Amino acid sequence: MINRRQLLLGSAAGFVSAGLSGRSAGTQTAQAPATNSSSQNAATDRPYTPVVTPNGRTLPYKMRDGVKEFHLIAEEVDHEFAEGTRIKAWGYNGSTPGPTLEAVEGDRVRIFVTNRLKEPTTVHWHGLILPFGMDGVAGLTQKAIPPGESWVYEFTLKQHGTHMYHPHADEMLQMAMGMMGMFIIHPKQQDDANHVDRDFALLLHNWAIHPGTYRPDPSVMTDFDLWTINSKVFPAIAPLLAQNGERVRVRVGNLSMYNHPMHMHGVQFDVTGSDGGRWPRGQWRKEVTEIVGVGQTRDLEFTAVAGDWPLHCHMSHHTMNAMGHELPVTTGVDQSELAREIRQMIPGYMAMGENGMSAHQEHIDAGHMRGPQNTLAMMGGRGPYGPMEMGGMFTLIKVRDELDGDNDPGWFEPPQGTQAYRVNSVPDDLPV
Amino acid sequence: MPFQAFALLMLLPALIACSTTGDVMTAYGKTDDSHQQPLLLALHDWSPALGTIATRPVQVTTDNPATILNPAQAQAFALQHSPAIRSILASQGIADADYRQATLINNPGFSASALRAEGSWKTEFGISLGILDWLTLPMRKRLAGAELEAARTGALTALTRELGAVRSRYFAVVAARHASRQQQQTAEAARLNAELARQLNQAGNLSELEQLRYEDELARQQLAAQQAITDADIRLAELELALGLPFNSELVVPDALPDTDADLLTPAALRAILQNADTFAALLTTAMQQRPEVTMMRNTRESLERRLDLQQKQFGMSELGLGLVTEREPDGSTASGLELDLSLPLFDRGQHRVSSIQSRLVQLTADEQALQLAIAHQLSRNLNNLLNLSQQVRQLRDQDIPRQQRMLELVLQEYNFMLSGPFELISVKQQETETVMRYVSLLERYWAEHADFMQHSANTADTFVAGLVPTSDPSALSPDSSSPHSPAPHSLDSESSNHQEHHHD
Ligand SMILES: [Cu+2]
Repeated sequence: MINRRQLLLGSAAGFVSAGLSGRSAGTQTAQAPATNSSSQNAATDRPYTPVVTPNGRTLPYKMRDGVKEFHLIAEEVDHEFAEGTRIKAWGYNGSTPGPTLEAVEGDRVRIFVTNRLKEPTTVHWHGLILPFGMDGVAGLTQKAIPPGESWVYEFTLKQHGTHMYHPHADEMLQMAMGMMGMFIIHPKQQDDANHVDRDFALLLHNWAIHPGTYRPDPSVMTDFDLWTINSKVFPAIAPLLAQNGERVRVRVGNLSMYNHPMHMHGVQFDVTGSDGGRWPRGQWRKEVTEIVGVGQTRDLEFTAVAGDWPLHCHMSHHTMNAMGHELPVTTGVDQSELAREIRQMIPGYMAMGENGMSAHQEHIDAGHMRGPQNTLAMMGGRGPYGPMEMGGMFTLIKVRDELDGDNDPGWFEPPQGTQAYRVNSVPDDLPV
Repeated sequence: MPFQAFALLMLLPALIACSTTGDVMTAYGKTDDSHQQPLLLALHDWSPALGTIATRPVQVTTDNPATILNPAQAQAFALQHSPAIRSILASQGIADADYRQATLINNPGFSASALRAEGSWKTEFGISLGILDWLTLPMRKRLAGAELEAARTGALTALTRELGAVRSRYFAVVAARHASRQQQQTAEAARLNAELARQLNQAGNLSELEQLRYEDELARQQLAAQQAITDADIRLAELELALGLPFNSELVVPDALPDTDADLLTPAALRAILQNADTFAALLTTAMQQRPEVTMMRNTRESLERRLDLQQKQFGMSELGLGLVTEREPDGSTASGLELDLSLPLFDRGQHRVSSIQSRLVQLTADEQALQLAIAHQLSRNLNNLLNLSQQVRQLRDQDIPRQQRMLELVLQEYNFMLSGPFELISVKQQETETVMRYVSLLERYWAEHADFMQHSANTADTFVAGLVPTSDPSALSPDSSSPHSPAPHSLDSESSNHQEHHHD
């Protein structure tokens, strides 16, 4: 049963949610920046804090006869991981990941799926409790949706939690191409004690985009080139914005082929939920790193503290962009003489790595080392004090006393006396 | 005629320069009779694609072995210095070869490179006759008619062979030097890899096993490089011998084979000859006209016919005859000798002499047919091989080597982004040098086949082929009058500016 109040709210949300989603829409459908402070939330009289999908958006729905109707379009999309790297990916409604679906426990949803690919597809509602025939497994629960056809999935949401959707037809390839999205179900009973001011949805993935190519290689199993949050790499991943003291939830889903220990600086977060829904408080645990396994989701909650705090996978190769994995180790090798001789034969050769790889970003940023087409340098990004030497699954949680809407607040300036500093000498009575 | 022709002939080095460089560099020979006057040539290196030698005109004398930069010069030098050639010339009463060398080397009968100069066929034929005038001077008074011609052509054959050998050895040494240069590059790439491996091993970053793999490759490449140097030295010594130079002379030759479009016969022209029976027949006819053996046979036929005529008119009269015997060697060349034919008319009423001459005429006809057939086969084999080789050479030059260079560029980009390592980068460079070595080997085969083709066609093939396809680069045809080294005589201008109108008709 749907009461009148829910119906009204739903209708309103159906048309407003477009304006409330995706802060950094990028190349996707133009939208007003989402604001998701509690006051804004209260203004819409929504029973939950809408999810923000950095670099993405939430899919609007239309309420029809008490059913929330969504339309997902499976199609090829032009996708940019960061400036300088574009590919032909597959996704939904013009993007990878597809737009986030957001609903409330108890909702009846009717999801139209149009297949604009040239091969059959399905949508599997990962982790949702639903009738067997709605599970979206090609050949098992249904005939796969042929190219050009539209099919409907319809079921009632019997749970809440952080969930995902992805194809279950030619799954290995279609997921490698970027077909996936988040499906957030808010609890029907909003618990004020568990209220969050900001709610973010991050979907982890890995991509094999060989240097100089423009399409993912689905055959790769381990040596991926790009590690993404919402199909973006640092420094193109939008930062997560919050105000000091706000309660923040970061929902992380993983449809890549690796487990990712997601690490947050500056706070101990509570792990408060998963695809199993929101956990009872007694099950929460404090962590600074939480492994999000393949096919799993985790909700991480914390109270925001001012700063520009990194949030990243702790597999250090996952915070790099494209790099070779079978390079000889040049650390500790003075190539200067040899490099001169090599340059005689191969003009442009530069010796690298004698003292580590840090110099690499300096070379790249200086612009005198050309790389392959459509390929991001291994490391990049500059902070207020120099190169950050990062890539891949790395972004920042920017917390300020007061935010100016969704505008990037710039770099955090540590208050006087709270920043590391240089000394001229070290007391010589310190044990080493 | 001889002196005028001679004067004209002295201008031909300019045409040689044209043909070997693709660009016109003027050159001229002095018509001064003094043999102290060296042949002056304005030269131009002919390997811009691989360019190690500066592209600049230089004045050289053929007396200086340090300045032999093309096969025509090698031949000129050989005419002056080779004991074997001087012996042939001396036997023909030409002692002052250095004085007449310009005539000889610029004759299309000797210098293949002259033929792309597009001199008219009439001129060339005239030159051939002119050459014969210089030969067999001492026999002129003792021999008459066809016999004299036979002796001259015999000498011409020997000279052609000697100068052909000079040409082959010249290309052999240039090829060996070219190959050696590339092999040194390959070895250098291997050395860089090995040195890098050694440093990595010392730093504790590479296992001894891996390091030794690079050492091993280096050793292999260094042996090959040493072998290449020795091969080039040996071939240089062989050229020295052919030129009449002492071992370890000052002789310097280029280290890159000619490989520009102006240097190479075009596949289209070669295919046109192979596919068109009339064109092939024209080439064969042209070649036959210039082959010394054919000239010899023609002269012998004339001699026999004259004697037959005489025999039939002067029945029973005795005669001292000097005839020509031609034998074919297994390698397809021919050797000739003079035959003294002495007979007494005692009981001879002449019938057996008539039938003997008649049967020799029959034999001669068969020999001529056999020779023509052999030449036709030689030419078609040459054409097929040249077609294949000129296509392969162009493919490597225009596609394979540039592709390798592009690959190197791309690997360098990957190296820059730490996607590929230095070993991989250097190895790709090594692959590129190995491709260039394959190219050099093809070029060498091309020039060997080309020399063979020129020999079989009596040096007429180049001009013939060039006449089939209009020259695409008109600038190659006009002398560069702005060059300070090219005070081109007027006659040269007229010779070279209208050569496109000349055809072997
Ligand atoms: Cu990871």
